Amino acid sequence: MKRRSFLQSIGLGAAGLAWNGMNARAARGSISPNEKITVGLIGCGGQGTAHMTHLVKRPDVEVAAVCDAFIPRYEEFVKRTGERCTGYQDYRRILERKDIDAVFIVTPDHWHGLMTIHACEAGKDVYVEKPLTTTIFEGRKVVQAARRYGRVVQNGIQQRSMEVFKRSIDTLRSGKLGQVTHSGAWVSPNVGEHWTDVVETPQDPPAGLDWDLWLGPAPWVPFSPQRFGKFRAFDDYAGGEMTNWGVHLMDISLWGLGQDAPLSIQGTGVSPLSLPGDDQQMLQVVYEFPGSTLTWSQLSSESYAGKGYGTLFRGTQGSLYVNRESMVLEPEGLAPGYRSEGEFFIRLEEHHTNFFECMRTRQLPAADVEIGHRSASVCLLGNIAVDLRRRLVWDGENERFVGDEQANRYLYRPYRAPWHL
Amino acid sequence: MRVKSFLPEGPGALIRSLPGKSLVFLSALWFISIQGAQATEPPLRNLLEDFKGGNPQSQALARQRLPSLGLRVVPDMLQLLSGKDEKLSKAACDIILQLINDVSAPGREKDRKKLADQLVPLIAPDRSEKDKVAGLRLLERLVPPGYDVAPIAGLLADNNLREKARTALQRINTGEARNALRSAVASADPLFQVALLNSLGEMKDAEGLEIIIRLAVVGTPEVQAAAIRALSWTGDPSYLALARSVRQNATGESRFDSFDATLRLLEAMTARGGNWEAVVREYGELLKTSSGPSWQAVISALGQIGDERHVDLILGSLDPGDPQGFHIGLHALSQLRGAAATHRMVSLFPQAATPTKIALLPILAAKNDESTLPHLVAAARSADPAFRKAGLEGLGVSGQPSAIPVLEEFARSGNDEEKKLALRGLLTVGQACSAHGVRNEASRAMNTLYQLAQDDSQRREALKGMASNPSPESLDSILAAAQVESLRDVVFPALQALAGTLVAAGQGDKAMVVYKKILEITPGAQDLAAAAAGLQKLDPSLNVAEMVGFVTQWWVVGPFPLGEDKSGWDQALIGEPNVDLAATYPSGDKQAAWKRVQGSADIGKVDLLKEVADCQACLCYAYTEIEVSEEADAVLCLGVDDGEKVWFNSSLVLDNFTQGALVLDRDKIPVHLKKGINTLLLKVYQNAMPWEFCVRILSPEGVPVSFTQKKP
Repeated sequence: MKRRSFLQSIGLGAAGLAWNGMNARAARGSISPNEKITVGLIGCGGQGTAHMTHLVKRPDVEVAAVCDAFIPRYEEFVKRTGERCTGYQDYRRILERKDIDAVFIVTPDHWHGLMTIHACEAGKDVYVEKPLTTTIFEGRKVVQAARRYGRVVQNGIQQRSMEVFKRSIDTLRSGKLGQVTHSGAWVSPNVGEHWTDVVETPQDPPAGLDWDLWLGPAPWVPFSPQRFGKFRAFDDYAGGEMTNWGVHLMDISLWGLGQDAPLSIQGTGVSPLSLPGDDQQMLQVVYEFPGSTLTWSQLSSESYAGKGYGTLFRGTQGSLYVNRESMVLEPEGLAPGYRSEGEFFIRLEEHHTNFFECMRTRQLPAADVEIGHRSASVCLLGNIAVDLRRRLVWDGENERFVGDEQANRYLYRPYRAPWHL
Repeated sequence: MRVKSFLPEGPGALIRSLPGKSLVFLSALWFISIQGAQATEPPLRNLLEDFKGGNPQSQALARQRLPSLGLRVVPDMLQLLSGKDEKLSKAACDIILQLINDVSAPGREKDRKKLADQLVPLIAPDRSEKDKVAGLRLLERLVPPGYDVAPIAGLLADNNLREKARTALQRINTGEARNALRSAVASADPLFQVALLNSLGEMKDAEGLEIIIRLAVVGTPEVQAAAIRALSWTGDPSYLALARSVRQNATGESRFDSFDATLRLLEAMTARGGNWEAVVREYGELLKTSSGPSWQAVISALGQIGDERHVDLILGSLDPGDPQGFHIGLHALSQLRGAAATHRMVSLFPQAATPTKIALLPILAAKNDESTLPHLVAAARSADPAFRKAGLEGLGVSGQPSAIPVLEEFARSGNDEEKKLALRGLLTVGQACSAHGVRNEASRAMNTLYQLAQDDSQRREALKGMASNPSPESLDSILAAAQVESLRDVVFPALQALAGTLVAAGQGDKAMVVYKKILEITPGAQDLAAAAAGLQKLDPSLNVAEMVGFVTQWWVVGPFPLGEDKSGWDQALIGEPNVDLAATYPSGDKQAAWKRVQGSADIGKVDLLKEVADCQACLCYAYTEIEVSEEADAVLCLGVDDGEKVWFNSSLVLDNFTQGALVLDRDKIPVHLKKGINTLLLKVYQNAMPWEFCVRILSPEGVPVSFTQKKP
């Protein structure tokens, strides 16, 4: 593999090349080192690169450690920062470091929950990517651990800190749409090799990859490049597009509707294009809330108000459509619209800032762990409903299905020893 | 009898009650329907062929349709599952999984058991490891309550598969599954004992408590810690002593595990309730032996459940040299509930170290307790700038009315930073007083804020506060604000509220000044109507309507029927646009004549129900003349219940057939006024209920146009 394509394959590129210089500038900044927050970054893939690119620009943060189960990935991060941080293969070595104040958990989804718990137990504050967990039982345990150890835990649903979404929520709260009775969220379907129809080719893991550690609490299986490179296609590690974009988009639905748990869920999915993998290609789920409904759609060419993905709200007086690019209202003139400026697709600065401020004040962050848990839960419930193809009644307070013993088995997935919750 | 045995049990009960011939007929129907259903079912073999080797679309369609054939597809799917074609094996597994989900729906217990019987052979000793792994993953979703799990439990002794068997049994979580895991604990090696205990704890296995307690005594330190963790969900205080003993025996990594297990037990005790004393006592014990994150966890917990008795403990352990622990301790203090806890903090405050004092001030302030004020005021008056800043900030956060004089003092005479803090504080205190209904103090804070404000944003907040808490003392501030163009949107509510308060206080003369100020600064329709009504009430002799540009002198004629398909709307019933005030027109069995009417003195409203007729689906005309001294552009502003046509100087300028209540200035029509007399003719539609209209004439800038009308 050529060096350039290798860098691209692990998500580094021009941004990665600039880390060293940016970090040096930050070090010369006016904030003294003892006021800086020291961070460890766990997970050096594509999203890890996005976080690192933003973190190294901050004068109030020092990234002191990076970690990945695949050694070449963290080595590349260390190099790009001019050896200013230490690389580790095992995240527990970062948690042992007394000088680390916070960790960013940017691993495949099946590790989010347990690493967050371990970080809380080690006295670290945590920024953990979405979805918070891969099961609802696990999510509740994460919330309990965060509270038990008094930690600040920010979930990576950064739309909570983005101006366009905050304005949308303000508009909803202003009552200009009248009574909001419905929200919808939509994105393109689970189509393509990244999501479904993946045929595995088991083989020996590449040099430098601790496959057992990468699997962690998930069931043991032989290494395959498909599992390693396309983890979202496998139920052992993720829940397809539903727990990817679904978390972002339906989190806004929950925020706007002022709800945190549905009363019932019904879903269905089909794979009309080929034999599916763990996930159906096209999905539709309907959630019932007190006084409102929510729909999730993964359908071909789905678009509202010219938006190929997003969240909508329908009220008795009008509708609001929002995604990272803009907020649009119907009828026009009902309230001022809004268009995002500059880089908006992966906009992390505000969410990072909110996290670091809350670390100092010990206040709950914008996407506190409980919010993250509820937003992940609504997606996990959707996937369960699609699998079971029957109406499920949900007891949000006790986080159990009502009158469906088998459905309750989907609420958790025991960890592989020695890992435990 | 043959029929009875042939029919299913449910319909049989109904059919047994029918006469013999009916029975034969219904039986025949039922038989035909069964045959028909079988004939229309998808052909299994064809679907299987498509599934195994069709093009991607027919393969996908077969994949979708096969589960609808029910359990009869299982043998073929099991064969494919064990086959070498990985793609088909996976898809077959998915089909079986879908069947599992179907038969596990409530009410399908028999099918669920039948499918379990078909799948259990997958994990038989003679099957491949691949089959066994697949079998376990399927069975963990399927095995119903009451089903024998011995074949799965048997795999707990297989070193390669024991983990998958354990997790499968944990997910099954039936009485049989819990029993199987329990039975395996005694003979397991310590590593697997920990895993089994984790399972039993997560399954909340009440029947296994005895076994778990025994391991908490005799197990290795790691097993003991896992045992306490497995007991913790019970929240049973009788396990505290055992947990303490395990902590004392702990070595290496089990130290943290045993500590964490105790925290979980205490949490469950708290949730269970009734053991508060025992819980806080144990936290106190933990605090003595903990440090770092463990100490922080205990402090956090005490903050959540503690009371005034824990203030000394937490405050005494605060170390500014450990920033993270320091902040967590402060947060715990901020969370302690009850006035007694606040009072204890107030009494211990003087003994705290300076950095702790500065950090404590915002926490005291946020308690919203008057007892904290002396410390906040003293800090605000301190010579130390850090104290002064924290004190001033705290006074604002406190929300206490007695903080207002001190904040006023600094807002007037402090340095720049102090002024800023004091003004921000006045706003916060004002808002808090307003929220608590302490209106006079809220008004005082907002009035001072307005007077000393450094920018429009502060002035706007102050005006909003004065509008919510109107007081005669705010008169000068609000009148001054009325002169500022940029504050117009927030000054109107303040003026309205102030006028109302002045009227209520018997200060009608001042109220009159306020109302006139409202009219003078060209408000929107709603403010105008409210001000006009208020002014009219104060002095019934005033014609406010004329003062603000309303047309008050009218001639009206009607009613005329709207007619079928609103034909009357389109007909020239009076020969419009020409108007002959002397003419009469047929109206039912009468002749309608023009009648002179005068609009109301507040907004010039003409009540057509009273002046024309109490009718529905009808029409009338209204005509007036206005005289201006100079030609000018203007805007006709109409509010009509329901719809209207408008001719200005004989030209049709609006046709608005609609229904709805009167809204001031609903329809705005740009016109050009010629010097001298201008004519205005309205055709007004009545649907039902009120029937009224009002018209005013404004300049394009929104200022009332000066005009005259002939009076009767």
